[in-house]
Amino acid sequence: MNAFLTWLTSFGSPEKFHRVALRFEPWLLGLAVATGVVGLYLGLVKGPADYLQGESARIMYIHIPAAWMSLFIYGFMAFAGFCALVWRFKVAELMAMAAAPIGAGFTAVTLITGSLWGRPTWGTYWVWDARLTSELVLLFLYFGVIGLYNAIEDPRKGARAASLLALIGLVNLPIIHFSVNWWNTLHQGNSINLFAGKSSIHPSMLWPLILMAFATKFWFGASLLARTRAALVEFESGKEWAQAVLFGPRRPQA
Amino acid sequence: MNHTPFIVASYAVFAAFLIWDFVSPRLALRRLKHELGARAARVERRKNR
Repeated sequence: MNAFLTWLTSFGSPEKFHRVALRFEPWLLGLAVATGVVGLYLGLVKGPADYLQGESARIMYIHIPAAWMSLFIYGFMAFAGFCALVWRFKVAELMAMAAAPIGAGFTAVTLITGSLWGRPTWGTYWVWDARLTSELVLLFLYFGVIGLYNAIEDPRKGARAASLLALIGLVNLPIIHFSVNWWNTLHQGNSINLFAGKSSIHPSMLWPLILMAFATKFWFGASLLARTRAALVEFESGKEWAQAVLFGPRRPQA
Repeated sequence: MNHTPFIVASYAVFAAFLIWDFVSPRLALRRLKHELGARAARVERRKNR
């Protein structure tokens, strides 16, 4: 635990975090593009259409990874918020708040693409079933976190209040995941279980999905670093290092 | 039923999200740079008056 804390606190310096983030960001972005292009090629060009749903099943290559990301990012945001509340790391506060709009975006993509998939499959864009409704609640939780952070004038107090809300909202994650088991839903049950090796999906569809899952994870990493860097530079804009980042050696003299 | 419009619309939404997500932190930095530059220029002008 001490080694973890020491490693974590070494990134507590905004200047060091900015330097490290700047180095990793292009790599993560490159990996996201590479895995995404291969995943989409395998899914859209090489992969077969579904025997029952036809071509509309190709929406799953963005719908399912986006849905996984909506949960993953919320978990990450709550973890960063926990670190911000307990150890008061400025970088953790900014990371938690930087993750919120990305998570909200992935959740919105999940809901919209799910709705577009639902129309040809179920005959309707929307039903108030447990999976869809709990995912919509997740979007509102993201909006709540973003709104609370922006509503409080002191950004540090705002981040801590929003982190607390994020932690409370964690209760929704198991509800979303198990909703298809707990209730009788129109949404299909889980057909992919990577860890238990019991996926009922054909490998020609599973591999593009796995690649897209990696692509979205890499994308999130790159986007999170970019957003945290921007927030850090804004937060520390009066400091020498932030001025050097913004203006280089020819920075304006106030 | 023709599924193509649903597939195209889904991928368009995803692409729009990726573009927004890529552009917004870069725009925020550009806006901040512009604001700080303008503020420094204002202070400089006031000093020279």
